[in-house]
Amino acid sequence: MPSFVNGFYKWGQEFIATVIDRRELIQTAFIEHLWLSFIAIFIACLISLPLGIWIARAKRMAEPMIGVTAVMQTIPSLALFGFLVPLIGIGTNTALIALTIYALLPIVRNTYTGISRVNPAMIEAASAMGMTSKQRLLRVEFPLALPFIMAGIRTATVLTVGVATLATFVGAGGLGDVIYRGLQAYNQHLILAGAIPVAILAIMFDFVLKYFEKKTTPKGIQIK
Amino acid sequence: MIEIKQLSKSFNDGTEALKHIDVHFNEGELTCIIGPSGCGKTTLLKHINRLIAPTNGDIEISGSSILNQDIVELRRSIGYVIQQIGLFPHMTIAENISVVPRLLNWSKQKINDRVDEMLEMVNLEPEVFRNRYPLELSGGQQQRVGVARALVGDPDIILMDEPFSALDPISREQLQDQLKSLHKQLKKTIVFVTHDMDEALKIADRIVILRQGEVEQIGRPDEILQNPETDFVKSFIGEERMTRFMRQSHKTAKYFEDWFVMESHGQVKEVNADTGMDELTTLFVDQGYDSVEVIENDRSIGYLTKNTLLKALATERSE
Ligand SMILES: Nc1ncnc2c1ncn2[C@@H]1O[C@H](COP(=O)(O)OP(=O)(O)O)[C@@H](O)[C@H]1O
Ligand SMILES: [Mg+2]
Repeated sequence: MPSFVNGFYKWGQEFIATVIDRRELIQTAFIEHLWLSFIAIFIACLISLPLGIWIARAKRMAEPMIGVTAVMQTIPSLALFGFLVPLIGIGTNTALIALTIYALLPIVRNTYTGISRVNPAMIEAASAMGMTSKQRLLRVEFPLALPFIMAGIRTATVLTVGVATLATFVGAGGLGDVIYRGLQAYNQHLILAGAIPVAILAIMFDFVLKYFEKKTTPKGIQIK
Repeated sequence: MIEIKQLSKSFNDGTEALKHIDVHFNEGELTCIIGPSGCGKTTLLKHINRLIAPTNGDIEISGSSILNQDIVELRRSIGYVIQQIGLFPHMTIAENISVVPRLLNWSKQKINDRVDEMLEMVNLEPEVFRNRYPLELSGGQQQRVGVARALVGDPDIILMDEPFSALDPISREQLQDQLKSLHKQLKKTIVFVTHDMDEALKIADRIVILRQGEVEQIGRPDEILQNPETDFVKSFIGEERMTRFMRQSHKTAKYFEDWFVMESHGQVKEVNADTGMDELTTLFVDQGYDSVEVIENDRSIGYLTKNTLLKALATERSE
């Protein structure tokens, strides 16, 4: 057998041995990571959806609001975690706040865009039927904007899953723990044993959300 | 039925879209508002369902001002059809038609029955169209649904803003014919905005001509054809339209016997009693004759003048 195949085989064996050896650490980290990402996205949705809808109605607020969320996004993620520690201390809350701040922009922006680009003829028809502004939002604007909003949530999720690896620096666990330990021990098997699940998690979220995006896209719009 | 009183509208940017409009729309009549683009037709129409608020003046329906009426109730009592159709793409045809009944919590059975009844009324087979989506329909079919949706709550008033102008000529003709017969059948008060004089002449009981935010002339189609009061109206109707109107008829000279006069004036030409409208139009419009002497069996049976012919045709079509 050529030596590189041999080498690869040996490397694979060691990698699997590492994963098996550290499976409890990896498992815990994976679940922590999943929860951190999920809760951050959930809170981000709770904030961004109403905010996006509001600025789509009060157009004057749109520029400044999107501006603020955009600026927050440009703060390097490591720096943001760093800023928050002296303010809130370390722990899960700090990580969640940082992750939520990161997830805001894509959701706010897509909600705003989705609602704003609903055909004015539709709004006029809805109003002329005597729909109240709330009825119009729920029955016309929101359903028509939903594919956009879901795309925003998807972007935010993939982003969050990546950034959540930094949660380890504020003591909030997650797959960053595994990677960090691997780095400290110069153990590339362990680094990969942390990094690969991050990728798997991102792909998983993406897959599930894509499914929801399809599901929530009104049938009448898919026909195009 | 609908009374517009001294209505003026200036938009925030200073555009004076309507200037002291006084006009009423009679109960059960189909009134066309016509005028060139930008003259304020849409603005006037949208005052009636309060999509636009007036700067000055008042709008009354059945004697009471709409300005302090509950806006939701007002709008539910008025059907509205627009050029862009405005069907909701995420709802099926049945759902589109039943938006208001569902908001009003009608029973399922009542909604289904009403939807089918509406689809039949606009000549769309319920079994075929009920569960389709708007984007699966042609423009003409979509606008039929638009009309069905406007009629579903049985409103007394229907407002239509250039509803057929984006359709192909064949669908447009069909929908005009159907609207006319629907109107005959349902006797709704319809206010119909158009920029197409032929459309107005075809469907209207009365025509309101607008120009730069002011009423230029109001009258029945034949009145407006016969007595255009201003140069603007004259040019708007256009000799070309009169010509087309004349050519459409399949009558012969003899048909207008009742309108013959015994003496001629101006330039006269002899024609046979069986001369068609085509040739008469050519003589009157293109060759500038003022009247023709109609000959039957080598005998003169009277004179037909250009003016009496126009009058005769106008009366004819309003019957
Ligand atoms: N929301 C608005 N703000 C400012 N000007 C407007 C607005 N809506 C219409 N106008 C202006 O008012 C005039 C009449 O418009 P409109 O009623 O839409 O005309 P039409 O329907 O006859 O084409 C036009 O000059 C138009 O530019
Ligand atoms: Mg218009």
